[in-house]
Amino acid sequence: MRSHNIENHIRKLRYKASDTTRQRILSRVSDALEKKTKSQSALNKPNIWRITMQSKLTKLTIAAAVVIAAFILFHSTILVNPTFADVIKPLFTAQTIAFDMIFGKEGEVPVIHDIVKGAFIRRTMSNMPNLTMIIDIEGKKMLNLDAGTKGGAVINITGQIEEGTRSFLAFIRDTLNRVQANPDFEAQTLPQKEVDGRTLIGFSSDGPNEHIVIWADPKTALPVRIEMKIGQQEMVIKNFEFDIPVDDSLISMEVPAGYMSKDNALDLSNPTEQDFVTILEVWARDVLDGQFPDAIGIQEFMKLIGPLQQKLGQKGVSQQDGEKIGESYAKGMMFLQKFLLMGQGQWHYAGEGVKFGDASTAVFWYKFKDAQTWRVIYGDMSVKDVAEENLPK
Amino acid sequence: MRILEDQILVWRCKHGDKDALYRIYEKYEEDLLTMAAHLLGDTAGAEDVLQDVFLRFVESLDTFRLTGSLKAYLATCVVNRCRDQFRRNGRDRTVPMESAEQAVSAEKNPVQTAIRQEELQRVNCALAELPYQQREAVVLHLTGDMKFHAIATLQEVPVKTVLSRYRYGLDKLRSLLDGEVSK
Repeated sequence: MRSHNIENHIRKLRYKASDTTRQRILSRVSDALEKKTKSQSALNKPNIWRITMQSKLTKLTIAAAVVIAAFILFHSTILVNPTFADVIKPLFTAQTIAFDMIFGKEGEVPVIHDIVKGAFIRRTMSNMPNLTMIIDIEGKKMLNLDAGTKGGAVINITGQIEEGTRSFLAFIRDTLNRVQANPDFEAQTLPQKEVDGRTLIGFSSDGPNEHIVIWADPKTALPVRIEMKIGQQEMVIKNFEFDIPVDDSLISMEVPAGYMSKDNALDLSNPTEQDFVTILEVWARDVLDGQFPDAIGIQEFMKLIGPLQQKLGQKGVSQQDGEKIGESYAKGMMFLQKFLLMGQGQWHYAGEGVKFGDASTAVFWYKFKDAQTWRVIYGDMSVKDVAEENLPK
Repeated sequence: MRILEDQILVWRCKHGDKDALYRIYEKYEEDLLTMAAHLLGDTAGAEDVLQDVFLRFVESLDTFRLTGSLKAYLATCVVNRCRDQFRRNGRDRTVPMESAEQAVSAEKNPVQTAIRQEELQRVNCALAELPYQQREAVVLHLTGDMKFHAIATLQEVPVKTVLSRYRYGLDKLRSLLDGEVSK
Protein backbone atom coordinates (compact mmCIF):
# COMPACT_ATOMS: atom_id res chain seq x y z
CA MET A 1 0.00 0.00 0.00
CA ARG A 2 1.31 3.46 -0.81
CA SER A 3 1.14 5.41 2.37
CA HIS A 4 0.98 8.78 0.60
CA ASN A 5 -2.48 7.74 -0.60
CA ILE A 6 -3.59 7.34 2.96
CA GLU A 7 -6.28 10.00 2.67
CA ASN A 8 -7.89 8.17 -0.24
CA HIS A 9 -7.67 4.86 1.59
CA ILE A 10 -9.44 6.26 4.62
CA ARG A 11 -12.11 7.86 2.45
CA LYS A 12 -12.75 4.50 0.80
CA LEU A 13 -12.91 2.62 4.06
CA ARG A 14 -16.65 2.31 4.56
CA TYR A 15 -18.90 0.28 6.81
CA LYS A 16 -22.48 -0.81 6.48
CA ALA A 17 -24.64 -2.31 9.15
CA SER A 18 -25.54 -5.94 8.63
CA ASP A 19 -29.16 -6.68 7.79
CA THR A 20 -29.72 -7.99 11.30
CA THR A 21 -28.27 -4.88 12.89
CA ARG A 22 -30.22 -2.62 10.57
CA GLN A 23 -33.46 -4.41 11.39
CA ARG A 24 -32.73 -4.24 15.11
CA ILE A 25 -31.97 -0.51 15.05
CA LEU A 26 -34.93 0.32 12.81
CA SER A 27 -37.25 -1.74 14.96
CA ARG A 28 -36.17 0.09 18.12
CA VAL A 29 -36.29 3.60 16.72
CA SER A 30 -39.57 2.80 15.02
CA ASP A 31 -41.06 1.65 18.32
CA ALA A 32 -39.75 4.80 19.96
CA LEU A 33 -41.39 6.93 17.28
CA GLU A 34 -44.69 5.10 17.65
CA LYS A 35 -44.71 5.52 21.42
CA LYS A 36 -43.82 9.15 21.06
CA THR A 37 -46.53 9.81 18.50
CA LYS A 38 -49.16 8.17 20.70
CA SER A 39 -48.20 10.10 23.80
CA GLN A 40 -47.94 13.32 21.80
CA SER A 41 -51.40 12.77 20.37
CA ALA A 42 -52.84 12.27 23.84
CA LEU A 43 -51.10 15.38 25.12
CA ASN A 44 -52.23 17.52 22.22
CA LYS A 45 -55.90 16.64 22.40
CA PRO A 46 -57.00 19.12 25.06
CA ASN A 47 -55.44 21.98 23.13
CA ILE A 48 -57.14 21.26 19.85
CA TRP A 49 -60.36 22.96 20.70
CA ARG A 50 -59.03 26.10 22.26
CA ILE A 51 -60.13 28.20 19.40
CA THR A 52 -59.10 31.78 19.76
CA MET A 53 -57.52 34.21 17.39
CA GLN A 54 -54.49 35.10 19.44
CA SER A 55 -51.79 35.54 16.87
CA LYS A 56 -51.52 38.27 14.32
CA LEU A 57 -50.24 35.70 11.86
CA THR A 58 -52.97 33.16 12.44
CA LYS A 59 -55.24 34.66 9.85
CA LEU A 60 -52.47 34.73 7.29
CA THR A 61 -51.73 31.07 7.85
CA ILE A 62 -55.36 30.10 7.80
CA ALA A 63 -56.14 32.20 4.76
CA ALA A 64 -53.25 30.63 2.91
CA ALA A 65 -54.35 27.16 3.91
CA VAL A 66 -57.91 27.78 2.80
CA VAL A 67 -56.79 28.98 -0.59
CA ILE A 68 -54.37 26.12 -1.08
CA ALA A 69 -57.05 23.63 -0.11
CA ALA A 70 -59.48 25.24 -2.47
CA PHE A 71 -57.41 25.72 -5.57
CA ILE A 72 -54.69 23.21 -5.72
CA LEU A 73 -56.63 21.04 -8.11
CA PHE A 74 -57.42 21.63 -11.70
CA HIS A 75 -60.90 22.42 -12.82
CA SER A 76 -60.13 21.29 -16.32
CA THR A 77 -61.66 18.08 -17.57
CA ILE A 78 -59.13 15.30 -17.61
CA LEU A 79 -59.48 12.62 -20.23
CA VAL A 80 -57.19 9.69 -19.71
CA ASN A 81 -57.08 6.16 -20.98
CA PRO A 82 -55.60 3.77 -18.44
CA THR A 83 -57.55 1.21 -16.45
CA PHE A 84 -55.69 -0.49 -13.69
CA ALA A 85 -58.40 -2.77 -12.28
CA ASP A 86 -56.81 -4.49 -9.32
CA VAL A 87 -54.35 -1.73 -8.61
CA ILE A 88 -56.89 1.06 -8.42
CA LYS A 89 -59.54 -0.94 -6.59
CA PRO A 90 -58.36 0.02 -3.07
CA LEU A 91 -58.66 3.68 -4.00
CA PHE A 92 -62.39 3.12 -4.33
CA THR A 93 -63.08 0.56 -1.65
CA ALA A 94 -60.93 1.54 1.33
CA GLN A 95 -62.80 3.02 4.28
CA THR A 96 -59.90 5.31 5.10
CA ILE A 97 -56.92 6.39 3.04
CA ALA A 98 -53.87 8.46 3.87
CA PHE A 99 -51.42 9.78 1.29
CA ASP A 100 -48.98 12.55 0.44
CA MET A 101 -49.70 14.93 -2.42
CA ILE A 102 -47.01 16.93 -4.15
CA PHE A 103 -48.22 19.58 -6.52
CA GLY A 104 -45.13 20.24 -8.64
CA LYS A 105 -41.64 18.75 -8.63
CA GLU A 106 -40.77 16.56 -5.65
CA GLY A 107 -38.33 18.23 -3.30
CA GLU A 108 -39.10 21.69 -4.63
CA VAL A 109 -42.58 22.23 -3.27
CA PRO A 110 -44.29 21.46 0.03
CA VAL A 111 -45.88 18.09 0.69
CA ILE A 112 -49.56 17.90 1.57
CA HIS A 113 -50.62 14.98 3.74
CA ASP A 114 -54.28 13.96 3.68
CA ILE A 115 -56.13 11.45 5.81
CA VAL A 116 -59.53 10.78 4.25
CA LYS A 117 -62.50 9.18 5.99
CA GLY A 118 -65.78 9.48 4.13
CA ALA A 119 -66.49 13.13 3.42
CA PHE A 120 -63.98 14.28 6.02
CA ILE A 121 -60.36 15.15 5.38
CA ARG A 122 -57.61 15.86 7.87
CA ARG A 123 -54.92 17.79 6.06
CA THR A 124 -51.44 18.96 7.02
CA MET A 125 -48.77 20.66 4.95
CA SER A 126 -45.00 20.47 5.26
CA ASN A 127 -44.52 24.23 4.86
CA MET A 128 -46.99 25.00 7.66
CA PRO A 129 -46.14 22.37 10.26
CA ASN A 130 -48.33 23.84 12.99
CA LEU A 131 -51.46 23.95 10.90
CA THR A 132 -54.06 21.22 10.69
CA MET A 133 -57.15 21.53 8.54
CA ILE A 134 -60.23 19.41 9.00
CA ILE A 135 -62.51 19.67 6.02
CA ASP A 136 -66.11 18.52 5.92
CA ILE A 137 -66.83 18.41 2.20
CA GLU A 138 -70.55 17.66 2.58
CA GLY A 139 -71.07 20.05 5.48
CA LYS A 140 -69.16 22.76 3.59
CA LYS A 141 -67.10 23.69 6.61
CA MET A 142 -63.42 23.76 7.37
CA LEU A 143 -61.84 23.83 10.80
CA ASN A 144 -58.31 25.27 10.92
CA LEU A 145 -56.15 24.67 13.94
CA ASP A 146 -52.78 26.26 14.61
CA ALA A 147 -50.88 24.20 17.18
CA GLY A 148 -48.20 26.87 17.49
CA THR A 149 -50.44 29.71 18.56
CA LYS A 150 -53.35 27.58 19.76
CA GLY A 151 -55.38 29.70 17.39
CA GLY A 152 -57.86 28.59 14.81
CA ALA A 153 -61.14 29.19 13.08
CA VAL A 154 -64.11 27.55 11.50
CA ILE A 155 -64.58 28.64 7.92
CA ASN A 156 -67.75 28.23 5.94
CA ILE A 157 -66.78 26.97 2.51
CA THR A 158 -68.97 29.02 0.24
CA GLY A 159 -68.77 30.87 -3.06
CA GLN A 160 -65.53 30.62 -4.98
CA ILE A 161 -63.96 28.61 -2.16
CA GLU A 162 -66.75 26.02 -2.39
CA GLU A 163 -66.16 25.58 -6.11
CA GLY A 164 -62.50 24.95 -5.56
CA THR A 165 -62.47 22.90 -2.39
CA ARG A 166 -62.44 19.24 -3.29
CA SER A 167 -60.94 16.09 -2.02
CA PHE A 168 -57.77 15.00 -3.75
CA LEU A 169 -58.99 11.46 -3.40
CA ALA A 170 -62.26 12.36 -5.13
CA PHE A 171 -60.17 13.97 -7.85
CA ILE A 172 -58.17 10.78 -8.34
CA ARG A 173 -61.34 8.68 -8.33
CA ASP A 174 -63.06 10.93 -10.88
CA THR A 175 -60.03 10.67 -13.11
CA LEU A 176 -59.91 6.90 -12.88
CA ASN A 177 -63.66 6.62 -13.49
CA ARG A 178 -63.32 8.58 -16.70
CA VAL A 179 -60.45 6.36 -17.70
CA GLN A 180 -62.48 3.22 -17.24
CA ALA A 181 -65.44 4.65 -19.09
CA ASN A 182 -63.35 5.39 -22.15
CA PRO A 183 -64.02 2.76 -24.87
CA ASP A 184 -60.52 3.31 -26.32
CA PHE A 185 -58.95 2.71 -22.99
CA GLU A 186 -55.44 1.29 -23.10
CA ALA A 187 -52.82 0.99 -20.38
CA GLN A 188 -49.20 0.12 -20.95
CA THR A 189 -47.39 -2.17 -18.52
CA LEU A 190 -44.03 -0.73 -17.52
CA PRO A 191 -40.90 -2.67 -16.56
CA GLN A 192 -40.45 -3.18 -12.84
CA LYS A 193 -38.69 -0.31 -11.17
CA GLU A 194 -37.04 0.55 -7.86
CA VAL A 195 -38.97 3.39 -6.28
CA ASP A 196 -37.98 4.56 -2.81
CA GLY A 197 -36.17 1.29 -2.27
CA ARG A 198 -39.08 -0.93 -3.30
CA THR A 199 -39.50 -2.98 -6.47
CA LEU A 200 -42.77 -1.92 -8.05
CA ILE A 201 -44.85 -2.71 -11.10
CA GLY A 202 -46.12 0.16 -13.17
CA PHE A 203 -48.83 1.10 -15.62
CA SER A 204 -48.98 4.21 -17.72
CA SER A 205 -51.37 5.91 -20.02
CA ASP A 206 -51.31 9.06 -22.10
CA GLY A 207 -54.19 11.31 -22.99
CA PRO A 208 -54.29 14.41 -25.20
CA ASN A 209 -52.90 16.62 -22.43
CA GLU A 210 -51.92 14.28 -19.69
CA HIS A 211 -49.60 11.46 -18.74
CA ILE A 212 -50.44 9.19 -15.83
CA VAL A 213 -48.29 6.50 -14.22
CA ILE A 214 -49.34 4.25 -11.35
CA TRP A 215 -46.75 2.25 -9.45
CA ALA A 216 -47.94 -0.62 -7.30
CA ASP A 217 -46.63 -3.31 -5.01
CA PRO A 218 -46.62 -6.55 -7.02
CA LYS A 219 -47.34 -8.65 -3.93
CA THR A 220 -50.30 -6.74 -2.57
CA ALA A 221 -51.45 -4.96 -5.75
CA LEU A 222 -51.81 -1.84 -3.65
CA PRO A 223 -50.95 1.45 -5.32
CA VAL A 224 -47.78 2.98 -3.97
CA ARG A 225 -47.31 6.03 -6.12
CA ILE A 226 -49.26 7.90 -8.77
CA GLU A 227 -47.53 10.38 -11.05
CA MET A 228 -49.55 12.73 -13.23
CA LYS A 229 -48.55 15.38 -15.69
CA ILE A 230 -51.33 17.51 -17.04
CA GLY A 231 -50.09 20.10 -19.49
CA GLN A 232 -46.95 21.42 -17.83
CA GLN A 233 -48.21 20.73 -14.33
CA GLU A 234 -46.78 17.76 -12.49
CA MET A 235 -48.21 16.11 -9.40
CA VAL A 236 -47.28 13.08 -7.36
CA ILE A 237 -49.47 11.18 -4.91
CA LYS A 238 -47.57 8.70 -2.79
CA ASN A 239 -47.08 7.02 0.58
CA PHE A 240 -50.56 5.53 0.43
CA GLU A 241 -51.96 3.83 3.50
CA PHE A 242 -55.27 2.02 3.23
CA ASP A 243 -57.84 1.23 5.91
CA ILE A 244 -55.84 2.75 8.69
CA PRO A 245 -57.66 3.39 11.95
CA VAL A 246 -58.83 7.01 12.06
CA ASP A 247 -60.37 8.08 15.34
CA ASP A 248 -63.46 10.24 14.87
CA SER A 249 -61.93 12.89 17.12
CA LEU A 250 -59.31 13.48 14.45
CA ILE A 251 -61.93 14.56 11.93
CA SER A 252 -64.55 16.03 14.25
CA MET A 253 -65.96 19.46 13.42
CA GLU A 254 -67.80 19.68 16.75
CA VAL A 255 -66.46 22.09 19.30
CA PRO A 256 -66.84 20.63 22.80
CA ALA A 257 -68.91 22.49 25.39
CA GLY A 258 -66.95 25.03 27.37
CA TYR A 259 -64.75 26.11 24.48
CA MET A 260 -65.11 29.10 22.23
CA SER A 261 -65.35 28.88 18.52
CA LYS A 262 -65.09 31.65 16.02
CA ASP A 263 -67.06 30.92 12.89
CA ASN A 264 -66.61 32.84 9.69
CA ALA A 265 -63.41 34.37 10.95
CA LEU A 266 -62.34 35.16 7.43
CA ASP A 267 -64.12 37.10 4.77
CA LEU A 268 -62.87 35.63 1.54
CA SER A 269 -65.82 36.73 -0.54
CA ASN A 270 -65.48 38.98 -3.57
CA PRO A 271 -61.76 38.96 -4.29
CA THR A 272 -60.82 42.12 -6.16
CA GLU A 273 -58.07 43.53 -8.34
CA GLN A 274 -56.82 45.46 -5.30
CA ASP A 275 -56.35 42.16 -3.45
CA PHE A 276 -54.24 40.88 -6.31
CA VAL A 277 -52.20 44.09 -6.34
CA THR A 278 -51.63 43.52 -2.62
CA ILE A 279 -50.28 40.02 -3.18
CA LEU A 280 -47.87 41.29 -5.86
CA GLU A 281 -46.78 44.12 -3.60
CA VAL A 282 -46.26 41.86 -0.60
CA TRP A 283 -44.24 39.40 -2.65
CA ALA A 284 -42.01 42.03 -4.24
CA ARG A 285 -41.63 44.45 -1.35
CA ASP A 286 -41.68 42.18 1.69
CA VAL A 287 -40.56 38.76 0.56
CA LEU A 288 -38.34 39.01 -2.51
CA ASP A 289 -36.24 42.06 -1.64
CA GLY A 290 -37.63 44.37 -4.26
CA GLN A 291 -38.02 41.90 -7.12
CA PHE A 292 -41.20 40.46 -8.53
CA PRO A 293 -41.35 36.67 -8.70
CA ASP A 294 -40.30 34.92 -11.89
CA ALA A 295 -43.74 33.38 -12.23
CA ILE A 296 -47.06 33.44 -10.40
CA GLY A 297 -49.35 30.60 -9.44
CA ILE A 298 -50.28 28.25 -6.65
CA GLN A 299 -46.71 26.95 -6.41
CA GLU A 300 -45.30 30.43 -5.79
CA PHE A 301 -48.12 31.10 -3.36
CA MET A 302 -47.23 27.98 -1.38
CA LYS A 303 -43.49 28.56 -1.53
CA LEU A 304 -43.67 32.20 -0.43
CA ILE A 305 -46.12 31.87 2.43
CA GLY A 306 -43.41 30.72 4.85
CA PRO A 307 -40.95 33.53 4.05
CA LEU A 308 -43.82 36.02 4.23
CA GLN A 309 -44.73 34.87 7.72
CA GLN A 310 -41.10 35.25 8.77
CA LYS A 311 -40.78 38.74 7.28
CA LEU A 312 -43.97 39.96 8.91
CA GLY A 313 -42.77 38.55 12.22
CA GLN A 314 -39.38 40.24 11.83
CA LYS A 315 -40.99 43.57 10.96
CA GLY A 316 -43.25 43.47 14.00
CA VAL A 317 -46.38 43.96 11.92
CA SER A 318 -49.38 44.80 14.11
CA GLN A 319 -52.16 42.30 14.70
CA GLN A 320 -54.60 44.37 12.68
CA ASP A 321 -52.24 44.77 9.74
CA GLY A 322 -51.27 41.10 9.87
CA GLU A 323 -54.90 40.08 9.62
CA LYS A 324 -55.55 42.49 6.81
CA ILE A 325 -52.53 41.25 4.85
CA GLY A 326 -53.63 37.67 5.49
CA GLU A 327 -57.06 38.20 4.03
CA SER A 328 -55.83 40.23 1.08
CA TYR A 329 -53.08 37.72 0.39
CA ALA A 330 -55.59 34.89 0.19
CA LYS A 331 -58.08 36.92 -1.80
CA GLY A 332 -55.36 38.05 -4.20
CA MET A 333 -54.66 34.43 -5.00
CA MET A 334 -58.38 33.81 -5.43
CA PHE A 335 -58.54 36.70 -7.90
CA LEU A 336 -55.76 35.12 -9.94
CA GLN A 337 -57.57 31.77 -9.88
CA LYS A 338 -60.42 33.40 -11.79
CA PHE A 339 -58.05 33.31 -14.76
CA LEU A 340 -55.87 30.34 -13.98
CA LEU A 341 -58.61 27.89 -13.21
CA MET A 342 -61.94 29.39 -14.05
CA GLY A 343 -61.18 30.79 -17.48
CA GLN A 344 -62.92 34.09 -16.80
CA GLY A 345 -60.63 36.05 -19.05
CA GLN A 346 -57.13 36.47 -20.50
CA TRP A 347 -54.00 37.38 -18.56
CA HIS A 348 -50.27 37.74 -18.92
CA TYR A 349 -47.52 37.98 -16.32
CA ALA A 350 -44.23 39.73 -17.09
CA GLY A 351 -42.79 40.43 -13.66
CA GLU A 352 -39.58 38.43 -14.02
CA GLY A 353 -36.62 40.76 -13.55
CA VAL A 354 -38.79 43.81 -12.84
CA LYS A 355 -37.94 45.87 -9.76
CA PHE A 356 -40.60 46.94 -7.31
CA GLY A 357 -41.39 50.62 -7.85
CA ASP A 358 -40.64 50.64 -11.59
CA ALA A 359 -43.54 52.75 -12.87
CA SER A 360 -42.63 52.31 -16.52
CA THR A 361 -42.75 48.51 -16.69
CA ALA A 362 -45.92 46.45 -16.70
CA VAL A 363 -45.84 43.29 -14.62
CA PHE A 364 -49.34 41.93 -15.17
CA TRP A 365 -52.26 42.62 -17.47
CA TYR A 366 -55.64 41.01 -17.72
CA LYS A 367 -59.04 41.36 -19.35
CA PHE A 368 -62.30 39.81 -18.27
CA LYS A 369 -64.30 38.23 -21.07
CA ASP A 370 -66.85 41.03 -21.30
CA ALA A 371 -64.38 43.92 -20.82
CA GLN A 372 -63.51 46.38 -23.59
CA THR A 373 -60.02 47.24 -22.39
CA TRP A 374 -57.19 45.60 -20.53
CA ARG A 375 -56.17 46.42 -16.99
CA VAL A 376 -52.40 46.78 -16.67
CA ILE A 377 -50.55 46.65 -13.34
CA TYR A 378 -47.12 48.35 -13.31
CA GLY A 379 -44.09 47.84 -11.11
CA ASP A 380 -45.07 50.73 -8.84
CA MET A 381 -48.44 49.04 -8.33
CA SER A 382 -50.34 51.62 -10.34
CA VAL A 383 -53.13 50.26 -12.52
CA LYS A 384 -54.34 51.70 -15.83
CA ASP A 385 -56.92 50.87 -18.50
CA VAL A 386 -55.11 50.16 -21.75
CA ALA A 387 -56.42 49.43 -25.22
CA GLU A 388 -55.38 46.15 -26.74
CA GLU A 389 -53.19 47.80 -29.38
CA ASN A 390 -51.24 49.62 -26.66
CA LEU A 391 -50.42 46.60 -24.55
CA PRO A 392 -46.77 45.95 -23.72
CA LYS A 393 -45.02 43.82 -26.34
CA MET B 1 -32.08 20.20 -2.31
CA ARG B 2 -30.88 17.61 0.26
CA ILE B 3 -31.61 20.05 3.07
CA LEU B 4 -35.12 20.67 1.79
CA GLU B 5 -35.70 16.94 1.48
CA ASP B 6 -34.41 16.47 5.02
CA GLN B 7 -36.69 19.21 6.31
CA ILE B 8 -39.66 17.42 4.83
CA LEU B 9 -38.47 14.09 6.21
CA VAL B 10 -38.03 15.59 9.68
CA TRP B 11 -41.46 17.17 9.46
CA ARG B 12 -42.94 13.82 8.54
CA CYS B 13 -41.07 12.16 11.41
CA LYS B 14 -42.54 14.73 13.76
CA HIS B 15 -45.92 13.53 12.54
CA GLY B 16 -45.07 9.92 13.30
CA ASP B 17 -44.20 8.83 9.76
CA LYS B 18 -42.02 5.75 10.10
CA ASP B 19 -41.18 5.65 6.39
CA ALA B 20 -39.60 9.08 6.72
CA LEU B 21 -37.56 7.87 9.68
CA TYR B 22 -36.42 4.82 7.69
CA ARG B 23 -35.45 7.09 4.81
CA ILE B 24 -33.31 9.29 7.07
CA TYR B 25 -31.69 6.19 8.51
CA GLU B 26 -30.97 4.73 5.09
CA LYS B 27 -29.53 8.01 3.84
CA TYR B 28 -27.04 8.42 6.64
CA GLU B 29 -26.43 4.96 8.08
CA GLU B 30 -23.23 4.29 6.17
CA ASP B 31 -21.65 7.70 6.77
CA LEU B 32 -22.47 7.72 10.47
CA LEU B 33 -21.52 4.12 11.09
CA THR B 34 -18.22 4.54 9.25
CA MET B 35 -17.42 7.61 11.29
CA ALA B 36 -18.29 5.94 14.57
CA ALA B 37 -16.38 2.76 13.68
CA HIS B 38 -13.25 4.76 12.88
CA LEU B 39 -13.52 6.85 16.00
CA LEU B 40 -14.07 3.90 18.30
CA GLY B 41 -12.14 1.23 16.42
CA ASP B 42 -15.01 -1.05 17.26
CA THR B 43 -17.92 -1.83 14.95
CA ALA B 44 -20.15 -3.27 17.66
CA GLY B 45 -19.70 -0.11 19.69
CA ALA B 46 -20.28 1.95 16.55
CA GLU B 47 -23.59 0.21 15.96
CA ASP B 48 -24.63 0.96 19.53
CA VAL B 49 -23.73 4.60 18.99
CA LEU B 50 -25.75 4.68 15.76
CA GLN B 51 -28.78 3.23 17.50
CA ASP B 52 -28.40 5.60 20.43
CA VAL B 53 -28.13 8.63 18.16
CA PHE B 54 -31.32 7.71 16.30
CA LEU B 55 -33.21 6.96 19.51
CA ARG B 56 -32.21 10.35 20.90
CA PHE B 57 -33.14 11.99 17.61
CA VAL B 58 -36.65 10.49 17.86
CA GLU B 59 -36.96 11.52 21.49
CA SER B 60 -35.98 15.09 20.68
CA LEU B 61 -38.39 15.47 17.76
CA ASP B 62 -40.80 17.65 19.77
CA THR B 63 -38.28 20.41 20.09
CA PHE B 64 -36.02 19.58 17.17
CA ARG B 65 -35.63 22.32 14.57
CA LEU B 66 -33.52 21.70 11.52
CA THR B 67 -31.63 24.89 10.83
CA GLY B 68 -28.80 23.45 8.76
CA SER B 69 -27.70 20.08 7.50
CA LEU B 70 -29.30 17.04 9.10
CA LYS B 71 -26.20 15.02 8.30
CA ALA B 72 -24.01 17.52 10.16
CA TYR B 73 -26.38 17.42 13.13
CA LEU B 74 -26.37 13.62 13.28
CA ALA B 75 -22.61 13.54 12.76
CA THR B 76 -22.13 15.87 15.74
CA CYS B 77 -24.32 13.56 17.83
CA VAL B 78 -22.16 10.61 16.75
CA VAL B 79 -18.98 12.45 17.70
CA ASN B 80 -20.34 13.32 21.13
CA ARG B 81 -21.53 9.79 21.81
CA CYS B 82 -18.20 8.36 20.65
CA ARG B 83 -16.34 10.69 23.00
CA ASP B 84 -18.53 9.53 25.89
CA GLN B 85 -17.90 5.92 24.99
CA PHE B 86 -14.19 6.49 24.51
CA ARG B 87 -13.94 8.09 27.94
CA ARG B 88 -15.87 5.22 29.52
CA ASN B 89 -13.78 2.52 27.86
CA GLY B 90 -10.40 4.08 28.64
CA ARG B 91 -8.23 6.21 26.47
CA ASP B 92 -6.21 3.65 24.61
CA ARG B 93 -8.48 0.69 24.54
CA THR B 94 -9.67 -0.31 21.12
CA VAL B 95 -11.21 -3.50 19.86
CA PRO B 96 -10.14 -5.00 16.52
CA MET B 97 -12.80 -4.66 13.90
CA GLU B 98 -12.99 -8.29 12.94
CA SER B 99 -16.74 -8.28 12.68
CA ALA B 100 -16.83 -5.29 10.41
CA GLU B 101 -18.96 -5.59 7.31
CA GLN B 102 -16.86 -3.47 5.03
CA ALA B 103 -18.30 -2.06 1.84
CA VAL B 104 -15.35 -3.12 -0.28
CA SER B 105 -16.77 -5.76 -2.57
CA ALA B 106 -16.64 -3.69 -5.74
CA GLU B 107 -13.94 -5.94 -7.20
CA LYS B 108 -15.34 -9.14 -8.61
CA ASN B 109 -11.97 -10.87 -8.48
CA PRO B 110 -11.75 -12.61 -5.08
CA VAL B 111 -7.95 -12.18 -4.95
CA GLN B 112 -8.26 -8.42 -5.45
CA THR B 113 -10.98 -8.31 -2.86
CA ALA B 114 -8.82 -10.16 -0.36
CA ILE B 115 -5.88 -7.82 -0.99
CA ARG B 116 -8.06 -4.81 -0.57
CA GLN B 117 -9.58 -6.18 2.62
CA GLU B 118 -6.10 -6.65 4.01
CA GLU B 119 -5.08 -3.11 3.08
CA LEU B 120 -8.13 -1.68 4.71
CA GLN B 121 -7.58 -3.74 7.82
CA ARG B 122 -4.10 -2.25 8.09
CA VAL B 123 -5.48 1.27 7.76
CA ASN B 124 -8.01 0.47 10.44
CA CYS B 125 -5.41 -0.79 12.84
CA ALA B 126 -3.24 2.24 12.16
CA LEU B 127 -6.15 4.60 12.81
CA ALA B 128 -6.75 2.90 16.13
CA GLU B 129 -3.18 3.73 17.12
CA LEU B 130 -3.67 7.48 16.80
CA PRO B 131 -4.30 9.67 19.86
CA TYR B 132 -8.05 10.26 20.02
CA GLN B 133 -8.07 13.96 19.11
CA GLN B 134 -5.85 13.35 16.08
CA ARG B 135 -8.01 10.43 15.06
CA GLU B 136 -11.11 12.59 15.40
CA ALA B 137 -9.62 15.32 13.20
CA VAL B 138 -8.63 12.81 10.52
CA VAL B 139 -11.86 10.86 10.60
CA LEU B 140 -14.21 13.84 10.66
CA HIS B 141 -12.42 15.47 7.75
CA LEU B 142 -11.98 12.39 5.60
CA THR B 143 -15.08 10.32 6.31
CA GLY B 144 -17.40 12.96 7.71
CA ASP B 145 -16.59 15.51 4.97
CA MET B 146 -16.38 18.16 7.69
CA LYS B 147 -14.47 21.37 7.11
CA PHE B 148 -11.61 22.17 9.46
CA HIS B 149 -13.40 25.17 10.93
CA ALA B 150 -16.41 22.96 11.73
CA ILE B 151 -14.12 20.45 13.42
CA ALA B 152 -12.50 23.31 15.33
CA THR B 153 -15.91 24.38 16.61
CA LEU B 154 -16.68 20.82 17.63
CA GLN B 155 -13.34 20.34 19.37
CA GLU B 156 -13.46 23.84 20.84
CA VAL B 157 -9.95 24.65 19.68
CA PRO B 158 -8.52 27.06 17.07
CA VAL B 159 -8.49 25.91 13.44
CA LYS B 160 -4.68 25.90 13.57
CA THR B 161 -4.79 23.26 16.28
CA VAL B 162 -7.13 21.11 14.21
CA LEU B 163 -4.84 21.42 11.20
CA SER B 164 -1.89 20.37 13.37
CA ARG B 165 -3.79 17.40 14.75
CA TYR B 166 -4.80 16.40 11.24
CA ARG B 167 -1.24 16.73 9.90
CA TYR B 168 0.35 14.88 12.82
CA GLY B 169 -2.32 12.21 12.52
CA LEU B 170 -1.60 11.65 8.85
CA ASP B 171 2.16 11.62 9.46
CA LYS B 172 1.78 9.00 12.13
CA LEU B 173 -0.51 6.92 9.93
CA ARG B 174 2.09 7.00 7.15
CA SER B 175 4.80 5.94 9.59
CA LEU B 176 2.70 3.13 10.95
CA LEU B 177 1.79 1.87 7.50
CA ASP B 178 5.40 2.04 6.34
CA GLY B 179 6.49 0.14 9.44
CA GLU B 180 8.53 3.07 10.74
CA VAL B 181 6.72 3.90 13.91
CA SER B 182 8.64 6.36 16.02
CA LYS B 183 7.50 6.80 19.58
